[in-house]
Amino acid sequence: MSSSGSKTQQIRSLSDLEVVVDTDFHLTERQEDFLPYLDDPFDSLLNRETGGDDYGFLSSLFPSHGMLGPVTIGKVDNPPVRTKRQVLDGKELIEWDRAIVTPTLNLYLGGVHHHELAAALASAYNEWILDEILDPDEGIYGAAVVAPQRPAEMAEEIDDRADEEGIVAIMLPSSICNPIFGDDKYHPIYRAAEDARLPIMMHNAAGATMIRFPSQWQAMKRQLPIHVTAHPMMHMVNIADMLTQGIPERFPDLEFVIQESGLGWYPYFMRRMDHDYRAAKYDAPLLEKMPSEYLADQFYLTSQPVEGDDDPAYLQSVIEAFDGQNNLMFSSDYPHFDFDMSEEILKTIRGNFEVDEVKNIYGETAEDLFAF
Amino acid sequence: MPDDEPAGADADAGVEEGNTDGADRGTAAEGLDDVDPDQLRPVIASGELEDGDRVIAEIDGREIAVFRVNGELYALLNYCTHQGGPVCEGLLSGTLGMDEDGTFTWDREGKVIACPWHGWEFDITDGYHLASERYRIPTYPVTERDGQIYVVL
Repeated sequence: MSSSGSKTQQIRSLSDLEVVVDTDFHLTERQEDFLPYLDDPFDSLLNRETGGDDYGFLSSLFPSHGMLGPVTIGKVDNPPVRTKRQVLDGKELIEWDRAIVTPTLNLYLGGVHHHELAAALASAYNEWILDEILDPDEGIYGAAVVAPQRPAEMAEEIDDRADEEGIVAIMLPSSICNPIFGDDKYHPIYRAAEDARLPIMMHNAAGATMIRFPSQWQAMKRQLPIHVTAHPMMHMVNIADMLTQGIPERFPDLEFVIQESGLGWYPYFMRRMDHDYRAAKYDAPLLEKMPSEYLADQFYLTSQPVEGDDDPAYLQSVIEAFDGQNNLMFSSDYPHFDFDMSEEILKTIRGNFEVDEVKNIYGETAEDLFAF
Repeated sequence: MPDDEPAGADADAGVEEGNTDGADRGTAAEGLDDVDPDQLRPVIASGELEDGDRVIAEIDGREIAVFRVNGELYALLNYCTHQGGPVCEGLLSGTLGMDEDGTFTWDREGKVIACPWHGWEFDITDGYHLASERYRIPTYPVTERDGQIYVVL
């Protein structure tokens, strides 16, 4: 028996673990919770009783996506987490010993149009959690939020918060930034966090990720990050929408061949679609079966560029995870710069798949699909 | 509704039984006429459950919810097969569908329960998840007689 096997057998429930740490336990903060912690001049500017007509816009200083999510329409009714008491209620449910509380509204901080205000909001949020939420004696730790719009000020913020009891990380809201995070602009944040020995947590805001995408793409100044991300990401965007809009249901005899995106994202994507769809059937009313079933029935994947071709165990598990024995088709991409030689997969998989399965990948599946 | 007409679910026959831990689909209305009285568990007086309301009772160690919708009674276990959430405490409403013209429709009003933890939607008339028959909330036969609502265990 392997040592890992015996270790697993010893742990039958959470109570067998010495410690459970929840590394992403969200507050559901509202502006009204942390706006009182704003410093001047924004305190004087915004925390007034009277004056001004904001036409409703400033009820959220953060960009709003307007998506009809399950919370918005009442299908999910989880309690708010805006006080320490409510954090402790969640602790009881999730059964952690320690947690790092992370924000919700402030995940959209990168989209706040007024950059100086964004920096002030980050500081106000941090002051709020230090004053009202964090409590290491109860296992409640926090990540200090920084505004990506103002790295120099945020370096000071990190310096100021690093020694506060309960701050164990920096939260860098990661989806609405411009430019993206490889830019020199962010070095002050990285340097300050490194000096403080605080890890940087990156968390996107799903409802706003695409707002800045054209400019983010423009900001990728080199080929490497574009080439790694563009193919699988664009396929995920398109196929997720096609499934949601019921394209395979509307065109049940139509088949699609997904190309040039590698392998590993695909079994992930199948399961992620199913995972979300189970909680959002109402968003895709045309579907009659699970998204992964449409993918299995009407979609095929071509192989190049095969990642992990030096790792047979990886390739075997990935190919099996989307039934590549029946849905994967060899492709070379010749003469593009990253083309695969014909034996690229073969030499790695031939020991792990049946003869018929290898034949399928190398030609039989294509013979059937394309009806030569 | 006559007292002797039980309100079971009206799910189609022939659907395979899910993993429902002894629950019944509640489809056979006639089956409740000769139910063993020992199996009847009182839930609430008829007059205390208005149309559109629900009651959640602990019965033989199980939390079971009884809904009255459009005059019909439905009983389900208050335990989501997803991650154990209190499914019957969630929003009871309908769900979006789409007609043949591609126009959104509002369907099954009053018959869709959404688990308040993750929003998984189930049809209270048969307990099935709207998207997949792999998931189902156990349902129970429920009957109303002599001014009292009973579930059958």
